[in-house]
Amino acid sequence: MKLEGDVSIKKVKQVYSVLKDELKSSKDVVIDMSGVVSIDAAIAQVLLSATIKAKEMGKELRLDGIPAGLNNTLALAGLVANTVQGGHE
Amino acid sequence: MNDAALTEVFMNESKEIISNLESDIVTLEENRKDQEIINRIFRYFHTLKGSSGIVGFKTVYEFTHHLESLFDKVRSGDFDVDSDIIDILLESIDWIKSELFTDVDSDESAGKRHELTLRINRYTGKDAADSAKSENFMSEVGAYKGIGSGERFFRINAAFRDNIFFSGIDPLMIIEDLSTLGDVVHNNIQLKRIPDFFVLDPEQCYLTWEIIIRTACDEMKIRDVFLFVIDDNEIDIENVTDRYTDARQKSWGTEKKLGEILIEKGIINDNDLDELINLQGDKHFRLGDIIIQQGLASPRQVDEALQEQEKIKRKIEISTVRVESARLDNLINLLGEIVIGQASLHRLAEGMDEEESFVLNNALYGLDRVTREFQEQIMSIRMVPIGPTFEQFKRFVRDTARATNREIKLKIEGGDTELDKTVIERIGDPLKHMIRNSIDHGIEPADTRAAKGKPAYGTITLKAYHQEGSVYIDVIDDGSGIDAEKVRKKAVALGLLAADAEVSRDRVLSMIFQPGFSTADQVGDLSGRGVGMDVVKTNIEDLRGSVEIKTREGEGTLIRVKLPLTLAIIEGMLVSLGETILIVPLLSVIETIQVKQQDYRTVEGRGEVILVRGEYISLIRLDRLFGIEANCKEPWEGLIVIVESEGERLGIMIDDLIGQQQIVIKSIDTFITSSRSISGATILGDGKVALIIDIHGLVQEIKKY
Repeated sequence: MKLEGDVSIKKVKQVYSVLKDELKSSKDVVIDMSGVVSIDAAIAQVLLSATIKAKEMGKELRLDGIPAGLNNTLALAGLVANTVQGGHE
Repeated sequence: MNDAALTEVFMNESKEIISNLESDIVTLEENRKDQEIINRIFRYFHTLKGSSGIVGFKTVYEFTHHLESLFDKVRSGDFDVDSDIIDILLESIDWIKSELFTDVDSDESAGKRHELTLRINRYTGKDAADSAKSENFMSEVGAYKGIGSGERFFRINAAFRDNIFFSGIDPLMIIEDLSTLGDVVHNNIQLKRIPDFFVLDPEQCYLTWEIIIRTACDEMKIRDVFLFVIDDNEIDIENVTDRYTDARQKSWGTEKKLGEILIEKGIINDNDLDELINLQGDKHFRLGDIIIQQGLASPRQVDEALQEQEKIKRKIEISTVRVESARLDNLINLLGEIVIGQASLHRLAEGMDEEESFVLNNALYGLDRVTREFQEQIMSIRMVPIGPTFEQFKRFVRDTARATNREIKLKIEGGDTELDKTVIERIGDPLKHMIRNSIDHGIEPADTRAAKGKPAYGTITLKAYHQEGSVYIDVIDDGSGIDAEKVRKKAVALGLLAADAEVSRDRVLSMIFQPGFSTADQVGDLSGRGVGMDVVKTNIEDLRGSVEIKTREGEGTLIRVKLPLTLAIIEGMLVSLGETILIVPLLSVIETIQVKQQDYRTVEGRGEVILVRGEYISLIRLDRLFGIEANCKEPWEGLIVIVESEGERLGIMIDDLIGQQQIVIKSIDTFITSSRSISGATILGDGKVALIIDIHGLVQEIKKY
């Protein structure tokens, strides 16, 4: 699947629904992030939750083509691999 | 405060911030390394972002976040300000302005926002991969080793409420803000709180961050990041520097203050403190810990004392208070009532016998003094510096100069000159038009200037100063000046001047303030449409001000605006005409005289005149103008008040002079009088209403006849 532009709470239901289908039907889920300008916490939360679910299901959820300007945001949201320290309190 | 009131406050503040931003950005273009301006711009974006979030302007909130990130990198020295950044900033300001203050086409607006965000991201993303802050998060051990002097560690636990996504605030942006303050050495999102993906409500927030940041900022700065969410979300900020630093680095000075605070609170006494300090010895234990161990205070009491200590450290000084301007207007009105009441008392005193009158007058003397001081204080609150008004023209001059292919510098002098807020609010448009005229008609293109031996760039100077109880604003350009002969020809062609009229150069130049007048050979984009300078003049006259023009061909032009300090209260001369009392503003009064019959005559073309020290002065009969029954029918029977406006003197016939007093101006609706000779009214001590003569308007009205 591909995300584009400002992906925010406004699109979260739509993103969630597509991701749900993808997770159920595909083996691995690859999200093309190259066209993303910004994401907010709502989208980050869905991606984070989906990542955990994918792992549980023995699948992989991968974010591809992350624009350089989004790295920090995704890292803080726990979506960049080496910074996902969550869930291990 | 309700939502509407909050939005209004936000709108007002935003206007101010945007105006400051525009000015600072234009200044930054000329001084690209000025760290002070860079920091200020960063702070403006930060404030704008925070407040737009709280009132629900989500797109503005998100967009200003990008701008803030951009400026964070600029201030960190990641890259220098170039002209592309200046363009991005100014276009971004335009976008914010249109988003906030106009009805925008949402598609067009979103398109522009996208375009700008991509341009901003090109900068912020440039070095993101290499940035220690973006990907390469330092480990806690690494951070510990790397600590330098003045750096602190804070642990932040931020659990956001479940419906925060609908408040217009994005928790992720807040966390990003936090990350700009230093190095995030630990970032832990508590995934336990997030439900199973398949039962997740995507519109609810389940996010809780635990972050440890290494920063040079103090706790207040960290708290500022959470300013808009700290009250209704679980935000816990703890200074954990001690756990990351050698205990020996601790400051003893502040620990001692903790003891002092606890003594002040009566929790411990001097002896306890001495003992505690002995217990500390050279072991460098924390005083708070020892106090708790010794059972002298509860952890809560120590905590509270530590918080107080932090407050002391912050030295919060509230130096300004933002007050709704309507409240100031109310104060002025109330003051007006006091002045009227005083006048009533003075009137009462006049009717008393000598002894009683002496006592009352004595008491009133004291009251008068206090009231005058009170009035000065209130008026001083209404006075605001003109600087910000001047500053907002920086952007305008920059853009207009670009549009006309000219190089122009705007010089500002006397920005701290204060004027009544009402005058400030209404002077912007006239000034803008004058500047536009200077650019369009005054400043020559660079090559023309070079050929004349002038610097390639033109200079427009805005200068404000106080003089003789008035405020002067000069708009000066070093352009081509005004060709008086051309103005004259144009005036003749327009029928404003007779072809053979013998008039002074100043009078000829004043023709440019006539409606429909323009000397521009071509109608330009900016001016030259023949509307403008007459409107400028009318606007300034409405402010009881005047405007004059001085020019030297080839050297430049000066337009001088004279304005009253305030519009609310004036010193007035009370005069009588029959049963009517009128007020003449004292500023316009030159003298009051009695004329002899032989000094009065009628001159063809000028009407009635009186001879005053060899000069003929036109005589005005207000009784005829206003249809009032006057007691004195002839000029030599009563008194003549000589007034001056725009260099012209007039003699106003009155029956008698009553006195002078402070006059609180009450505006009157045009349905009561549309006469330009009346500027307002006031209420006298006996409750009667007296009209205030507008000398300037009077001169204009007389000229019509």
